[in-house]
Amino acid sequence: MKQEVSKYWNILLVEDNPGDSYLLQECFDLTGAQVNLIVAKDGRQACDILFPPNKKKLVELDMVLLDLNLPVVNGKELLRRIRSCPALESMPVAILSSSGNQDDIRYCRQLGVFSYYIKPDEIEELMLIVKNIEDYLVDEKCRKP
Amino acid sequence: MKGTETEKPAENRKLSGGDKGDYTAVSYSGMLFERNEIQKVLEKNEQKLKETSDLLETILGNTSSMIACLDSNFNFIKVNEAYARADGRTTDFYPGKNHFELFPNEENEAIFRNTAQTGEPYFAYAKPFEYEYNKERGVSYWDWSLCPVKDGNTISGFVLTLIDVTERIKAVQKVEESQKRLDSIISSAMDAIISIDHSHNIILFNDTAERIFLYNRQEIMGEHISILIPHEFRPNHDNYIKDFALNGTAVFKKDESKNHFALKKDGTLFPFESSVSQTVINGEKIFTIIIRDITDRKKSEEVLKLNEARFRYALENLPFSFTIYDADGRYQYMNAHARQILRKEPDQIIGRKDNELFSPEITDKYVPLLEKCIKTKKPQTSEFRITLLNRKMQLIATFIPILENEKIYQILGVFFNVTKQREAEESLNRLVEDLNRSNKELEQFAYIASHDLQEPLRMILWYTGFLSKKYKGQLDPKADEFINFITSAASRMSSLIRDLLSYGRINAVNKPFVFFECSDIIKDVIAIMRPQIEENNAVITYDNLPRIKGDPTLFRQLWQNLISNSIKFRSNLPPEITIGCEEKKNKWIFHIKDNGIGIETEFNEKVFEIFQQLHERDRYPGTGIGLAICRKIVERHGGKIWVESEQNSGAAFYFSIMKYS
Repeated sequence: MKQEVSKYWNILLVEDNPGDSYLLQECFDLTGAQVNLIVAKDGRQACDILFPPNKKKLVELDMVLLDLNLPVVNGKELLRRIRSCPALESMPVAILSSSGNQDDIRYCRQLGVFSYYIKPDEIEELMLIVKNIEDYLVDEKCRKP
Repeated sequence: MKGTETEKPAENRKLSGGDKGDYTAVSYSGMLFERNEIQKVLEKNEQKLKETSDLLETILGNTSSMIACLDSNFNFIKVNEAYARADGRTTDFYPGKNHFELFPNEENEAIFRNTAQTGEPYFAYAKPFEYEYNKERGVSYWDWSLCPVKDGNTISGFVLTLIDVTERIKAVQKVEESQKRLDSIISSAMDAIISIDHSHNIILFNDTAERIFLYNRQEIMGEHISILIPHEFRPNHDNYIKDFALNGTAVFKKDESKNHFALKKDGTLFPFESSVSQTVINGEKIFTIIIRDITDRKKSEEVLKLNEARFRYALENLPFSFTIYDADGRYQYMNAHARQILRKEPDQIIGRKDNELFSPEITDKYVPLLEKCIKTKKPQTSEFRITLLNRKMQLIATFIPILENEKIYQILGVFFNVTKQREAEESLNRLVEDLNRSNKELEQFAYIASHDLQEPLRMILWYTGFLSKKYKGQLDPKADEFINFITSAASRMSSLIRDLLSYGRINAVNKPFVFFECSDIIKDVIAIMRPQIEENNAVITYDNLPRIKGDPTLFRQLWQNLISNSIKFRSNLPPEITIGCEEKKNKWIFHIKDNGIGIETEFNEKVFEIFQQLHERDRYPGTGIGLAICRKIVERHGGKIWVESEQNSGAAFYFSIMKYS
């Protein structure tokens, strides 16, 4: 079953730290998941991808993975814009941030994220997050015809 | 009237007993004479008798003595004018009446009867008599006599003679009484009273004089007054008395000089005050001296003077300025400290007011306060800055009114120079401010720095982790070991940074306080710590926890740290932890007690310092920040934290929290 629906998932990763982006791709690869991380280094780059000026999508996105502490347009603002855009109404969004701030968590949950991950120190815990994201994508595709 | 007339010859007969005898002799011899001869003699005798009788009558009628003739039964025969007058009656009232019916008196009746029996005349002098029917007259005194009139051997009657001596007796009694009064005044007087005669010999020496001079009256009487005067003053004293005698007026000499002393019998001297008066008795001058021993008064005056001197000395040498003003605000006194500061001499300031001495820039600072003190009659204090002789000073002035009968008598002024203290306070305040600011900056810095340190550290952890995961067994065996070293060092650094972050966050993140139930927090903490609790078989009990005001997040951290500590430092026994709280005045005192390994008493304070670890890290891992965080959280809630513990006997942590209503 899993094999039938499996394909390359396009995940927009909004992350200013290239070390993080690179390792995440490595982790997805290590699990054998077919994930293609499209990396935006700041809020503006992410907006260019999410809200293209000519309304023509460059790429079909399956999910947005957001860091909160971002230059130019921060993660919370970006999340607000995504959630207020009707075209992105059903776009799954998850947060991957080093901040465990309760107010940030509450804010993001209220706007609508399927998960709020705090960047762990341990590599094993990071692998669990990666697997969790992969499982969500599989389940999501099963629900949607 | 007639009766009286007819009685007269009878009385005459009786009274002139001698004549009657002659008459009888005549009657016997008459037989021998011729009838006309007899008649002649008779007539002659009759004539003689009448003359005698008239004479007697005149005497009786005009004497002031009261005379009454009584018969042998004490019935009145006749009384004279004086007698009747004294009784308020006339002479014709009495004849035929009984004496004791008119004047009943048992004692006198007994005397009368005794005279009747013995025939001896009775004489009484100044005998008291109280007339029963006229008591308001009081006791009267009488010289009286009762002489029997004998007819041969039988008593035919009595002559009663009375002289009222009441006035005389009473006058004598009065003199005696006043003498007694005078004597008692003299003897009981507080002062010594001594009288001397014209030769200055002592003729009166009262009890007080005896006591003061230690002489007794017998030995001093008749002695010259100089016996009581110290030798060196004797010539002066004689002159003084002479002058006084010449001058003739009484002067009260109040002794102000210290030179007046009197001499006691034992040779000691005492200071005295005296007054002298003179009287002339029987042409002789008598001086009376009243002497008061003022030893005690002199002593208390001296004590007073000594105290005053001490007080002045103390004031003069006070290490601050002290002044005394009169009720109008004029200087009466200024001590050395004040004079030195103002560069003034006493004669420049005494009797002057501040505004006569100093410029308005100076007086404006404290004269209104002095005026307020005079107006309100209450002490006033104020602090002000002043420039005196180019010296800037910070002074505290206090004015204290001294009242006498609700009126200001004096005002005390006290001036403290607090320049140095204020300067020290100011610089201290500046230091504290600086310190607070730099503390705050340091906290901010630590928070930001540690937050930014997290990122690169996580990089190290992630990549070393990924390295060992992806290339395990593919590298040199030593490489795996090296990777482990990197990982554990980075892990430890990460937890240090995390703890430092939470330590810094306590004050950096300033959340408003809210009310919450402590037991809810404990429940949360126990839930979070379940794996650790179960692993150690720990038992945690708590009860009676109050609702308090604070930052719940910080409280969760506080309890988590404390409970975690109690479990971590456990003994061989399963951990038993009890949590409770007591109310004390405006504070809550919380406690958490365990049965762990405890803390050596000497470290009971040190455990709350940052990075303080008492145990080897291998056995008890940790950063040494946990209890420092606890202390900071408690302090942020206005409380204190302390531990009571000994090694191997468990630990009891206490902390207090401000109580809000």
